[in-house]
Order: sequence, then structure tokens, then C-alpha cells
Amino acid sequence: MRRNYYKVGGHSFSVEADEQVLSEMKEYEPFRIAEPPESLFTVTIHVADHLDISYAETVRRAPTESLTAINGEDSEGHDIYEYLWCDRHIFWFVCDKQYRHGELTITGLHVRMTLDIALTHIFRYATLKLQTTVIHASAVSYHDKAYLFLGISGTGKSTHSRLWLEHIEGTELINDDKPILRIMDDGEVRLYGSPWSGKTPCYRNVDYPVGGMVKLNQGPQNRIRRLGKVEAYHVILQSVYGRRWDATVSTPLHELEVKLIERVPIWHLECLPDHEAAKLSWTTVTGEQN
Amino acid sequence: MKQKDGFVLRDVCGDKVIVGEGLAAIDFGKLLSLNETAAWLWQKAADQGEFSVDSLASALCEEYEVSPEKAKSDVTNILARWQEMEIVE
Repeated sequence: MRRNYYKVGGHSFSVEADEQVLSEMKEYEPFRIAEPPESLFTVTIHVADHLDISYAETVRRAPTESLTAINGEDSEGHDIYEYLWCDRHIFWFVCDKQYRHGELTITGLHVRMTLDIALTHIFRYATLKLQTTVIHASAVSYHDKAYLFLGISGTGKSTHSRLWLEHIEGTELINDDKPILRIMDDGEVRLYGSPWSGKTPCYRNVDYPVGGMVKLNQGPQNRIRRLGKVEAYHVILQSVYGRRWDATVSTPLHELEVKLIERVPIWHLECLPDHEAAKLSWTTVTGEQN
Repeated sequence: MKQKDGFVLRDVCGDKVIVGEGLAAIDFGKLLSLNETAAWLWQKAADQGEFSVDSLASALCEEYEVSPEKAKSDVTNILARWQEMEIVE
């Protein structure tokens, strides 16, 4: 077993596993650090076909047709997360209540996906009290600020980022799926790249203050408007995942989300997948002219 | 009538909204804005558990200076909206 240290969103954590498993974590390399004075959480990974575990199931979801995700809690209050592919186990992930430590048992199926699911899971809950969350977005940087494109899967977030990259000089992609949002001690909202970037290989260890967010919808024309507080809250609510059925999660998430909409302007863009859409959102959110 | 499980009243920068947070409401996906009266009634309905147009209208009359007729018509309208949103049953 070997232990690697990583820093994502300004938070340090460690992963202990055998070489073969750690070698699957290539996209985490830009986030590798030397042993820090303190780690927020540690994850230990074992390989096994079976885990003797008994717990009460809280909720069962199907992220895709062949995947089943189960959340539960055992008698000692551990958070249990279990994944199946068809009827075969992919992993069991057992975390303590404070998310200081996670024991991940993997069967060897879909190892990279497993690592991402388990690490985003513990990261999400361990960092919540530190005003940090994983957000479902495609994010770009422009003139030292981050801009986020939000929307449900398939609305064209990645396409819109690509249009900025192609048509707006000085734009760079930060992350294409799950960057990290954090409210700093002085109230500034910052966006960090992460090892979790969906289908686009973009694992950049960079961070910028957030300049604005744009919720996208496909439409017959390009039209943009600034959202009011309640609409903006609804957009953020749909872009941040967490087990909201648990009040110890939903209340701090709600407080974080309200702070975000108080500090960052959010727009709604109805758009076509064209050059003009990128120009419209760019001029609107950055205040720059063509 | 009673509130369905899992719906929570939240304060968003001074505006009151109902969101689906509980297990039974995970897929609600919508958000309902409430004015001051509706937010007060939502809280009252939660306190009462089992409620009706009459029970909420009389609570409204005790709290606010409003005629019984006006209270009843306001409560009826608000409850119709809640039923339409399927957050009460």
C-alpha cells in the first residue's frame, strides 16, 4: 500500500491503495502534493469481491439504465454508499459521520469511475462546512476571472465553452463537468479546477474569482437576461448535488447557495449553438464590447 | 388536508420559497414562491398537521385584521395552488 496526497479546491486529502489502483489516478496528478501538515480526509482502498456489511437503505437511484446507486446508514451511523452494475457490485464506500475517513472496497469493475464517484462523494460532504461544493458546470477563464455555464446534461454547456474558446481570444477551459466552488473567508467566490471533468480530459489545477454564471437552455434564438434572486437560487439548486433529504446536509447547502447568489450574478441564456450566442453571453457577463 | 412529506420552507434573501428536499420530494424539481400570507399559512398548516380551509381561515383571522369572507377566499386560492403543485394531500 502507498499513500498519495492531493489538494483540490484548496483542501488536502490522501488516498491509500496499492500501486495498481493508484496508477489509475492519472487525472489526479496535477493535484498531487507533498505530505501536508493536515489532511481534511483520508480514503483507504481495498480490492475484494465481497464485503460483509449490514445497513439500512435510505434511497436507491439509477444514474443510468445499468447502474444502481444505494445510500444507507449502518447502526453506528456510518454513511454507506454502494454501487451496482446490472446485478454485480462495483464498490462499497463506508465513511464516518464527519467524513474524516472513508473505506472504499472495489471489485475491479469500472475502477476509474469508482474512484471519481467515491472521491467526489467524500469531498462533497467533508468540505461543505468549509463553504465548498462541487458544481455541475462547464467553466472557462477569461481575463483572470471564471465564468460558469450551467444546465442539465445535454443543454450544451460544453458546446458553449467550446464556442468561447473558438471565438473569444484569451479564453481557456478550466473544467468541463465538476469544478469546485468555494466561498473564501473574505467572502470572495472562487472557482477551482478539479480531477473530475466528465468526458473532456481537462484536469487543471487553477483557480479564479468567479465573474458570473450563465444558465443555458436551447432555443430558437439568442436571448439573455439577468435572473432575480429566487430564479438564481433555483438554478444553483439544480446544479449542486447533495443528499438534501438529510437536514445536516440540506441546511448548510442552502446557506452556501444563498451566499453564492448574493455574491455572483447569474444570467439565463436561451441560445443556438452558434458564434453569436457566445458573443452575446461574453459581452453581457464580462461587460466587454465586440 | 395535510402537507406532503419532504417539502421545506426556505428563506432566499428575504423571499420565501418551498423546495422539495425530503426523500418523498427529491424529484419535485420545482420551486414555489410564497408571499408573506402564504408563507405564514404554510407554517400554520405545518403546526396544525391536519388542516382545512376553515381551520386556516380562522387562524388567519386571529393573526391579521381581515374579514372571515376575505380570509376564506384567500385561503381557498392558496390551497388550490398548493394542490395544483401537489405539495399537499
